[in-house]
Amino acid sequence: MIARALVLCMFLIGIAGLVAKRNLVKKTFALAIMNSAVVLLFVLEGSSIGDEAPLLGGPGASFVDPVPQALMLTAIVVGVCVSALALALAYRLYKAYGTLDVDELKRLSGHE
Amino acid sequence: MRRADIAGTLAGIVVAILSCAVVAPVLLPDVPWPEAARDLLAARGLGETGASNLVSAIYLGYRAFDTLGETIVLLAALAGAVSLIGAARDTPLHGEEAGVAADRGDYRGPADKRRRLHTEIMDSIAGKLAPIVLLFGAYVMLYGHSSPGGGFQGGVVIASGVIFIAIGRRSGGIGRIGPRLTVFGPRALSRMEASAFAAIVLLSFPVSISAFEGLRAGASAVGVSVPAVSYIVALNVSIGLKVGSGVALMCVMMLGGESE
Repeated sequence: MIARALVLCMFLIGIAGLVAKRNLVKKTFALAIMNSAVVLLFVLEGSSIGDEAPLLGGPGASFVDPVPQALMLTAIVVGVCVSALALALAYRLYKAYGTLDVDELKRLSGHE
Repeated sequence: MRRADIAGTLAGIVVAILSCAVVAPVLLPDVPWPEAARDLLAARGLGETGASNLVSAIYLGYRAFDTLGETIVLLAALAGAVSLIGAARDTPLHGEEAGVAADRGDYRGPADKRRRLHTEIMDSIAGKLAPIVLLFGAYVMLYGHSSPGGGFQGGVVIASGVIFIAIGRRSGGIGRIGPRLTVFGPRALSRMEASAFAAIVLLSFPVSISAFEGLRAGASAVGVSVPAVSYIVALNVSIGLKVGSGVALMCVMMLGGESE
């Protein structure tokens, strides 16, 4: 229960960063924090039915569920892809406008 | 307090409450996690895929096509990021002349500040640490079928080793790997990534799976036993090379290391 509340806090920190920060790089890292919170939630839930790594040949038989772990492998890779692409876009915007501030960018690109 | 600030604060509170309302029901209920999938995999995973690491058994045995799609996602993101960085490098920095920006386009600021980001600790440690990290990455990649690890994890460790090399070989670095060795340059990395991706696609065809089965049968006929898990090891190695070279290429481009 405490662990899940902490995961919720982590997710909300990510949302807060995404909404409140104006720097594009900080927004990207807020997205990465939200992604980590989701990954942690899945791994945490899968580990509620066991306490050993899902490797056959170990001493006991109470593994954690390997299915969420395999799913989260995909989620981590997709999260890295999102971060990389977002950072590359931020870099391009910085080169074009000389700032990473979203409000500045809106003003400079004439969308305000 | 200005009206805009009050409105912003109120909007923030509303967003916090709404996001709590969306996320909390996922986290709060106490439904027990189903054990059926775990028990089925524990009973049949090793026999059906040959991998004693059940996570590897899932993503390379039962769900190998999903993993193929995942590598395609990684490839697409990498292509986008690399082309964006390459295009951004050619555009002059906003408000500057093209000639000034082309000097060292990736960082704007006083020269001494750029210097400070690049300390002697990094220069002397990074290049020496790289071989150890690369060896560990190869171990994680090769033994992913039976111990914690696998292609993606090993690939990321290999990528960090290549990043160490890239940091250690920059100007002033005393990394042990000579600056003229271009195996870890962007061009070689992108070639390695492309060939590893081709290997993954080739390994995923049903023809190659049946060819592998035929090879196993032929080998056992002449007395050499090829374990069933070697298919998963081959997939792990090609995924590891692809992920490693891809992530390393992305980071080397971001470091600005394409000036071979």
